[in-house]
Amino acid sequence: MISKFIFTLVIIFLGAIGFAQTEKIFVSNYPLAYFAERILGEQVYFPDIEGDPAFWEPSEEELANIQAAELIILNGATYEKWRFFTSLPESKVVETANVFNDHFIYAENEVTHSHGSSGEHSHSGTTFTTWIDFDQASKQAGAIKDALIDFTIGDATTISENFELLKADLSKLDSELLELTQGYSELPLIGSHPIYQYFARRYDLNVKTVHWEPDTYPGEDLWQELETVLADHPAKWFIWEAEPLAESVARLEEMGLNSVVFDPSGNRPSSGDFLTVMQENIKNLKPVFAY
Amino acid sequence: MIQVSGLEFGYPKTGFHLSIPDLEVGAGQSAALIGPSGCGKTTLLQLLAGIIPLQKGSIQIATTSLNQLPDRERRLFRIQTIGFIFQDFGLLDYLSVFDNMVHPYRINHGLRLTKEIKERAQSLATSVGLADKLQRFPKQLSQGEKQRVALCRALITKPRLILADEPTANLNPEQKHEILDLLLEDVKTKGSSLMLATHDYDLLDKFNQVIDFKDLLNNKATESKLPTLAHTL
Amino acid sequence: MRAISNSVYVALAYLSYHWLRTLMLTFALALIGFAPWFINQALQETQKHLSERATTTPLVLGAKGSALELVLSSLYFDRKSQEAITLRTVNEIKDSKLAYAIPFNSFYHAGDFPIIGTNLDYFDFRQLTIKEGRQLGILGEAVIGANVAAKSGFKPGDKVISSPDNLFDISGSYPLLLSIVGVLAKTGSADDDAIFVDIRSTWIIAGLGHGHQDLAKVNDPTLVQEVQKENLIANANLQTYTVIDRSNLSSFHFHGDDADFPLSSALVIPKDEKSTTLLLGRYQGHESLQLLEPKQVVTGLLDTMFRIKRVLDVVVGIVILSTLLTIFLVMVLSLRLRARELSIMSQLGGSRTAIAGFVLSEFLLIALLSLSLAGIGLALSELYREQLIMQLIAR
Repeated sequence: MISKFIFTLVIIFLGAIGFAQTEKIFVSNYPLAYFAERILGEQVYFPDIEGDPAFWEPSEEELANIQAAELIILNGATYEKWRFFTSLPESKVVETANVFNDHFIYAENEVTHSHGSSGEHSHSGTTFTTWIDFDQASKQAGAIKDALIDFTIGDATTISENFELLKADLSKLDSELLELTQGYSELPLIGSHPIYQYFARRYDLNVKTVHWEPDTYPGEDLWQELETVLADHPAKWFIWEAEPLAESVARLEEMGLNSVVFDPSGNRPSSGDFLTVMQENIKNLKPVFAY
Repeated sequence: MIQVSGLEFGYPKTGFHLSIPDLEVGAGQSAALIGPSGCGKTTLLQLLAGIIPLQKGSIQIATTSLNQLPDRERRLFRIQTIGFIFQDFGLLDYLSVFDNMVHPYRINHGLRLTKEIKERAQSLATSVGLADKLQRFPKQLSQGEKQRVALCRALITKPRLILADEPTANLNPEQKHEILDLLLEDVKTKGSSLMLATHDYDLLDKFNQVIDFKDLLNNKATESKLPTLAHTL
Repeated sequence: MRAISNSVYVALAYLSYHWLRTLMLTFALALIGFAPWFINQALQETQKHLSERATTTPLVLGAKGSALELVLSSLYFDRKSQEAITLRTVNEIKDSKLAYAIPFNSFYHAGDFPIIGTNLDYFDFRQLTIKEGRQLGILGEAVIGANVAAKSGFKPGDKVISSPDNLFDISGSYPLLLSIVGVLAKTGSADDDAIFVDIRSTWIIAGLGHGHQDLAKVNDPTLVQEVQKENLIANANLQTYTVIDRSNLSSFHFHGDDADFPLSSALVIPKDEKSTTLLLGRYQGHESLQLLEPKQVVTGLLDTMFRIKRVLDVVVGIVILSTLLTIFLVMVLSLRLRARELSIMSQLGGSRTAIAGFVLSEFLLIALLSLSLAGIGLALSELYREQLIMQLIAR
């Protein structure tokens, strides 16, 4: 009885330590969480976020947790919108995409608006779904490895070894995709959202994007917009960022467009992990490049 | 009380010379010392008090030979035996009337300011009519009052000899008589001796003995009123 | 014992009767005891304050110009005119991996208090802890130094509006309503007298970023009341000011590349000695920037101060000597004036020791009074010295 009680206490105690440890390193999206956890071999603090982490706003409490972290791993390339209005200990912030900041792609469709006397201006920003270029993903993982070593978190040798394994996995994904897409640079493709810029650049693909949500049926204006795009971009494939509604798929088929899913996995997947989701993505794409 | 013999004293620089072969004032006697200004009255009083050391001869006050005492003891003897009164009263302007009266008890460690002394000061002040002015400062007093304070200060030690150096010179006739009467009353009631230097000839009647400096210097006998008076030889 | 009490009694009577003379002597003596001590302490304190902060601040980066002014403004928030540098310079330092840099934007103020825009690194670096409330979270929030809280009575939950003017006339100033969320623990440094905000909040004040429908008109009567209660508005020209809260937060955005945004200076904290040398070398002869070691700048300043002090020491020494001579003269003269009084005591039969005792007691009493007075002065100055010196340094 008593031993059981002590056992429970020990479990609670270890649990508390475990919890404290997860707070040490904050990451702002799932791919980074996956990379960091594989490299460090420990859980990191990636809060439960509903929807796309790119548009997340941390609560006061979550912000305090982030501020208290030893290392704050961000995607960068203007991914974290909340960064603009929160205070962080900047020396602990690592923007992983910064290693290739010379190669950022700037948003094409700039939102233009005007207010008051300051006249018209545009919110120019970089596109930020950097990691579905797996070469870039590998560089971001490398930035995490460097930061962990810099901040002397964890054992450097283990970290380097773990990184090499992750790098090999990412490199495999990269070469698979490169091989798959080889020779299809002219093939017109439609993307459901403007998140495929880096993907298209790396794998030399001809993707045009609309602004469709997989879980809502698009309004007629959006269908019309698609018609216009298709007029000089005769795509046969529509790439969704998540599993689309059956009605949308059906209507696209009527228009001669086949649906596939390539999930950037910005948030934690309901099953599997980053690697399996990406492998699934590549599998999904195979029919596209089968001709 | 006072016995002087073969006294020779001089200031070599000024040529002043005092020579008194013999002088005597008995206990309970009052003597007036007269003579022109600068003739040496003050010097004689100071010699008698042991303030100025003697050059030649001897002075005995109440059978004590002053010139044989060391300075420390001479001062103690003076404060215990002699009451001194000055022409300018010699009050300390920063002390109250009361503190001026008991001052002798604060300036020589041989004396002790006891409760009894303080009471005596009080009663002395009452007897000279200063009871209500004990906390005043000399500045706030009239000339007559000042000399009465000085008188109290001289009498507080119950001296056997009172030496007064022109105590009435700065007073009006009324005050003069008042002070002199107070002094003579002490002589009469306490049996002390008084030697008072003055050039106020109106007052001489009140003394047992008048010592004229002119006579002293001219080596003549003083005129005697009473058989017990001292003579110059 | 009796002898001493008599001496003291008479001496006290003398001193209190001549109270004016006593007072003047006492003051003169107290002053010559106090003055050199105070100067010395003040200088030591200044030195301590200056060098403490200077030695704990490895490097300061700023626009070319007066080295001293750059250091004073970065370390003590001394509001001296300062050319702006850009955030790019800070990013460059971070990218060099030799150091990290903490940006400062000290161009704005709220009433008498400087607004320091920085990031959370600064609090870690200076080991500033929150005594009340919480750390900065979002734009428009402020934490205030202990003295700001004490002087203004502000506490978490209160609002402060940034003053509409700035001393430097850079890019403009759009008053921002700051929400105080925390009060810092007292440190005895310039941090106690500052209002800290995120550097982006200062860029909003500079008009570089804004949200939508964020301008509150001051002619709204309730706002006027609220703001007047804050008691920090110095300028009646204030027309509108920006309010930021969670509801309009996400609409806030900055125009242009933030690398071009202004800073007044930056603290640079190198990884190691070697990085320091490398960085110093890198910025040597830079056309628009200077990277300084505050320790050296302050040492230079202190050297100057000590040279001045040495001259001052001689002057003070001469003053003390002449004062002492004067006091000696006064004493001698007063003894002469009292010759008659002393001779009366002697004639009455006062002993030499007793009479000397009065004079000695008087002297000792005056010395004692002077010492006490100097002591009180020192104790009082001890209480206010730090404040006084911080003011001397900061103004």
